[in-house]
Amino acid sequence: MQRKGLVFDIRSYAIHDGPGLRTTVFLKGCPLHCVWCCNPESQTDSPDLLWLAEHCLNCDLCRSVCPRGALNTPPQGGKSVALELCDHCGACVNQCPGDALNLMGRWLTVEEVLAEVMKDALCFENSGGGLTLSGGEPMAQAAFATDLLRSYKREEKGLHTVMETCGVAEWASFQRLAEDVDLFLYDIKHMDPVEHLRLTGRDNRLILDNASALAQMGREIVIRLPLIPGKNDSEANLIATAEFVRKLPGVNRIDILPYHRLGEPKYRRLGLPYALAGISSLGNECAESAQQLLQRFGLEVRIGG
Amino acid sequence: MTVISLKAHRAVPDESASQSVPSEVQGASARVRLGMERNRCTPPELHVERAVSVTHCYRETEGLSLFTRRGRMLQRIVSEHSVQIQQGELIVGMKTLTPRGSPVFPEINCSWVERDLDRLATRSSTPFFVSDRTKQILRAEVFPYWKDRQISDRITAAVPADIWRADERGLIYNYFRSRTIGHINAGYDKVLTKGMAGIVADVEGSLSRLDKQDRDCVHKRQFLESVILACEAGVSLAGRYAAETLRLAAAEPDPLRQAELERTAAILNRVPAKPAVTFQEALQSFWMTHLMINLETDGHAFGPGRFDQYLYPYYRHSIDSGEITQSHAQELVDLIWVKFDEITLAKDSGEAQTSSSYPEFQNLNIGGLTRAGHDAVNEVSYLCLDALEHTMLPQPGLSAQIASLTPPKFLLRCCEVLRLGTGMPAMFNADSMVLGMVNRGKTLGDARASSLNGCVATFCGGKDRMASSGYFNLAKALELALNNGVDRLTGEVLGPQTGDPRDFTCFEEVVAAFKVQVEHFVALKVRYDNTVRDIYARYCPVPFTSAVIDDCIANAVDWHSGGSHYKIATMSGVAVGTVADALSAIRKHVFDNHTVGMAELIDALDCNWKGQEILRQTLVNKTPHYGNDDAFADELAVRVQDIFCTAVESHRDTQGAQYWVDLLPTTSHIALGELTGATPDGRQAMAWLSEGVSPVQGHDWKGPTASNRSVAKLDHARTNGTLLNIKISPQTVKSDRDLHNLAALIRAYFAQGGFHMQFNIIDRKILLDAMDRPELHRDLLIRVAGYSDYFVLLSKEIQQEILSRAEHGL
Repeated sequence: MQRKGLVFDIRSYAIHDGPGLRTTVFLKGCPLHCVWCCNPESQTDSPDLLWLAEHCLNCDLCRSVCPRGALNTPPQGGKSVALELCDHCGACVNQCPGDALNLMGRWLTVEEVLAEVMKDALCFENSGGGLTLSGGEPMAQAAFATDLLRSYKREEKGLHTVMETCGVAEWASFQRLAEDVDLFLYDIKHMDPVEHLRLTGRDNRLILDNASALAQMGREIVIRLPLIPGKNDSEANLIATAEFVRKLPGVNRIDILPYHRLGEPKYRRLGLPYALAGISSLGNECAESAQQLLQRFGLEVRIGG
Repeated sequence: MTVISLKAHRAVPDESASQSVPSEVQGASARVRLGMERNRCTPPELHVERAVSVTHCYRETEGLSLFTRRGRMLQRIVSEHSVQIQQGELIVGMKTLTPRGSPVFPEINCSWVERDLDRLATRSSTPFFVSDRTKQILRAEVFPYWKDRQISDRITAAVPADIWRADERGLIYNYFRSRTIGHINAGYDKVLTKGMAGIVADVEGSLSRLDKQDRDCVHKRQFLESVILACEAGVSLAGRYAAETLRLAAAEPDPLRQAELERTAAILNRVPAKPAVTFQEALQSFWMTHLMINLETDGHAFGPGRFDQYLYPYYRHSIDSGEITQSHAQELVDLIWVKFDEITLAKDSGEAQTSSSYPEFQNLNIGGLTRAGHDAVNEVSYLCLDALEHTMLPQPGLSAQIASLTPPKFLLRCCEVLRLGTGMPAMFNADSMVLGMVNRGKTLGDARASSLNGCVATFCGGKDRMASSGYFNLAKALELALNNGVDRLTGEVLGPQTGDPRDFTCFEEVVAAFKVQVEHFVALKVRYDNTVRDIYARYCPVPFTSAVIDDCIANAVDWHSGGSHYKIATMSGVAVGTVADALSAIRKHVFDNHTVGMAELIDALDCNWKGQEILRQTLVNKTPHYGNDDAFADELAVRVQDIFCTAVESHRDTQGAQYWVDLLPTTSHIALGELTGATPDGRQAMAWLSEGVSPVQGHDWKGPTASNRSVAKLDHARTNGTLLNIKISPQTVKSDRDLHNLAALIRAYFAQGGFHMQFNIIDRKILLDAMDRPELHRDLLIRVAGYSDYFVLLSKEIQQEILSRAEHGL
C-alpha cells in the first residue's frame, strides 16, 4: 500500500515561502511545542476536530450523525469532543451546515498532494516558484516528505523546492532528502540549550548539528529567527546566533520573523492555554534594531523573509 | 486606527521597486497639476447651450431631409459653442463651458431631464449642478418642442408591452432606450493621416460614383452631403478655437505663454482640416475629432482605441527632428489625460444606478500586436503609463494589451503602475482577443489591430459597429425555470411554462427548463434591440461618426443604419457565477446526495429562506463553488456559458450583424440582483448577483490562482469580452519580487486562455475608513467594473460590494 501523509493544508499563491509563486503543503505533527506557535493545530500527529463557535447554528446535527457518540453539547452551550471515542471519520464535519466543525488533517497519498500542487505549474514556471513543504514540521513525516520531494523532482524536472524546518530529525533523514531540496528555510529559535528546552520542549543540540551538516553538504540555507519579545530577543542571544550562522559555510542570510498574536484565537478554539497571553506583537523598531545588530556580523538580514 | 491614504502609500520610498524598470518619472508639470486641480474643483454642471442650438436648428429645418438637418445641427452646435481656452492649456477644446460639464441631447432623450431637473443636483449617484437660468431655458425653449419627437418617446411607443415587462422585472435591459448606441472607436488615424479635407475628398468621390438608377440614390446623396457638412463643422470648430487663441495671445503679457498660444493657434488652423505632421498637431487633431463625436450623440464608450499606435509616427517625427524633447512629449500626453478627464455625461437616474460613475468609458489601449503580429509596444505606450502615474485620474480608462511575445519590461512597468491602486491599466490578453476576432470574421491583420472599447468589449477600430445592447440576467432565467415561468417576486407570469419544478426527477430537467427560458428571453431581447436600433437608424443619422468609420462613405450608408465595414451585435450575460453555484447546489443536494427534496427547496425559495437557515447554510457551505478549480462546479459554469452563447449566436440583427455574447456586468449585477428572488446557492432574494465571469463574491476561497483556473475554463475567445475582478492587498505587491509574481499570475491566466483581469490593490482598512470618513479619501481611486472611479463618490451598495469581493493575499 502506498504511503500516506497527514496534510493539514495546501495553500496556493504562497508568496512568502520562498522565491516566486508557490504552493505550500503543510504536514501535520511537530516534535517541538514552541510557546509562541501560531499553528497549534499543526502540532499533534493525528487529525484534530476544530469547532468554531461563531459559525455554529446550534442545530445539533453533528451529534445525531456521529457513529461513535463522541460529540456532546454541554448544557452551558458549546461543543465537546470525547477524544478517546472520536476516530476522525469526518461524518460530523460533512454534515455541519455552518462549517463550524473542521477536521484539521487529512491522510493523502503523494499523488493526491502532487495533483493539487501541480495545478499551479504555469505560475511556478512563470515566476521561478514551486513547492514548499512546511508544517507542523515536515521532517516529522520524513519518509512521506522524502517520497513527495523525490516524485516532484522526478516528474517536474527541476522545478524549485523549499523546506521550512525546525531542524529536529535524525541526520540520516535529512541526508535522504537533502538533495531534493533547493532551499532550506531553517529555524533557529534560541542558542542556549536550556532556554531552548524551556521555550520549545527540547534542547537545540540536534538542530545546530543538522544545520552545520546541511551547510557542509553545500545545501542552500536561509536561517529564520522568530523574534519573541522577552524570550529570545536579548542581545546575547542575537550575538550568539549571528556567530553561529557566520560559521556555517555558504550561509549568510537571516530572516527575522517578528512575533504576532494571530495564533491566539486558535488556542481558545482548541481549548488550550496561551502561554504568551499579555505579550504584544513585536514592534517595527525592535525588529529593526535586531536587524542592525545582526548586520554587524556581515550577514544579510531581512525582516519578514 | 492608522489610516494610510493611497497618496501616503505612494510616498513611502520603496527602493527595490523604483529600480525594477527604468522610467523617466519626473511627476506632473505645473500646468498639468493646474488642469487636474481645475477638474477636481469644478462641480459637474448641466449646460443648456447645445440643447438650445439643436432645438432652434430642428425647428428651422422642418421639412428638410433628416440627413441635412443632422448635418446642419452639427454646424449650428459648433457655431454657437462657447469657445473657451483654459489657463495653461496647450491642447484645447471643451465639450461644455466648464470642465466635467454635460450638455443636454434633447433630440435623443430629454424627458428624463425634465423629470429629474430639480433633483439632478442632489441625487446620490453622479449629481450635476443645474443653474436656475438653465432650468428656465430648458423648460421654456427646449422641453415643449421635443414631446413625441425625441427618440426616447418613439422607443417607448414602439416597444411592445411584453418586452417592457421583461425589462421592468429585471430579465433584460437595453441601455439604448435612454441614450444612443455609442461604443464608437473612430478611425482617428484616418483624420491624422488625411485630414478632414481628405475625408471630404473621399465623400466627393463616393458622390460621383452614385448610381442614378439606384432607388436609394437620393437618400445616399443626402447622406453623403451631410457627411461633408459634418466635416466642415469639425474644421470650423477648430477655426473658432484658433481665433480665440489668437485673441488671447494678443492680450497675453507673458511672452512665453504668448508664443505657446500662437503656436496652438497655428496648429488649429491646420488640423483637423489637413494631415497632422507633429506630435502636438496629431494630439490636437485627435482631440477635435474626439470632441465632435462627443457633441454629436450621447452614447457612452467613445474609445480612443490604439492610441500609442496611431500617435507613434508623429511622436517619432517630432523627436527625431528635434522639434520637441521627451519631457515635452510627456507633458503633452499628461495634458491630454486632463482633457479626457473633463468629459462627463449626465445620465438618466435609472441608468446612473446600473453604471454609477462619471467616467465615460474612454478606453485607451497600449501595447499588444502590430497588424503583422509583432510586438507593438513603443515609447508612446510608456508615456501613457507615466501619464497615469503622474495624474492618477480616472479617465481615460487605460488598457494594456499583453501578448505572449510582449516584453517583460512592459508587463512589469504595467504592474508597477497597477500597484499605485487606480485599478489601471486593466490587463488584456491580446492573443485571446485575436483568436476571438478572427472567429467573429475579422481578417488577421484587423484582428491584431483591434482594441478594447467600453470596459472589455473588443472592436476593430475605425471599421466596426459593435452594439453591446445591454444585459441579460441569467439568474432571473433560472428563477423562472424553477417557478414554471412565474416571477417569484411579483407572481406574474413572465416566461414560458417549463413545468412545475417539484415534479422534476433529474438534474437534466432543470437544465432543460433553464435552457428554454434563456432561449425565450434571448429572442425577446433581440426583438427589443432591433426595435430600438431601427429607431436610431430611422431618426438619428450620425454624419460625423460616419465620416470617421469605414465604409460608411464608400457604402453611402449611415453608421446607425449599418454602413460600417464590420458589424456585430452582442448581449451581456450577467450572473454566470451565481447560476453555476445554484445549479451545483441543486445537482449535489437534490439529485446526488438527496440532502433536500426539490419540493422542499422550491418552498424555501418561495419564502426566501424564512425559517430555513440550516438548509440555506448547508447549500452555501456544502456545495462545490465555481472559482475553486473544482470540476463539479466549473463544468456547470462552462455549461451555463454554452447554453447562453448557443442561444445568442442563433440570432442576427436587422442589419445583418451576427449576435455574440460578452460577459460583463458594469454594475448591473446589483440593480438586476434587486429584481431577482432567492436562488438555490443560498443567495437571498434581492441580493447582488455575481459579476462578469468572477466567482460569487467571497466564494473563491482557494486563492487567486485557483479562482483564475476556474474562470479560464470558460471559453473566452467565444465571447466579445469577459471581465474578471481581482482585489489584492498592497502587502502582496510591495517589493520588486512581488511585481514579478503579479506578472506571473497574469501570464499564467492568459496562457490558460483568460481574457481580462483588473486589480484593486487596496487595503480593506482604507476602504472601511473611506466609508466612514469620505472627506479624507477624496483621492482614493478604485476599479469598479471596467472602469475606475473615486471610491467616495460611489453609492453605498457598490462600496459594500467592493469590500465583499474576496480579498486575496495576506
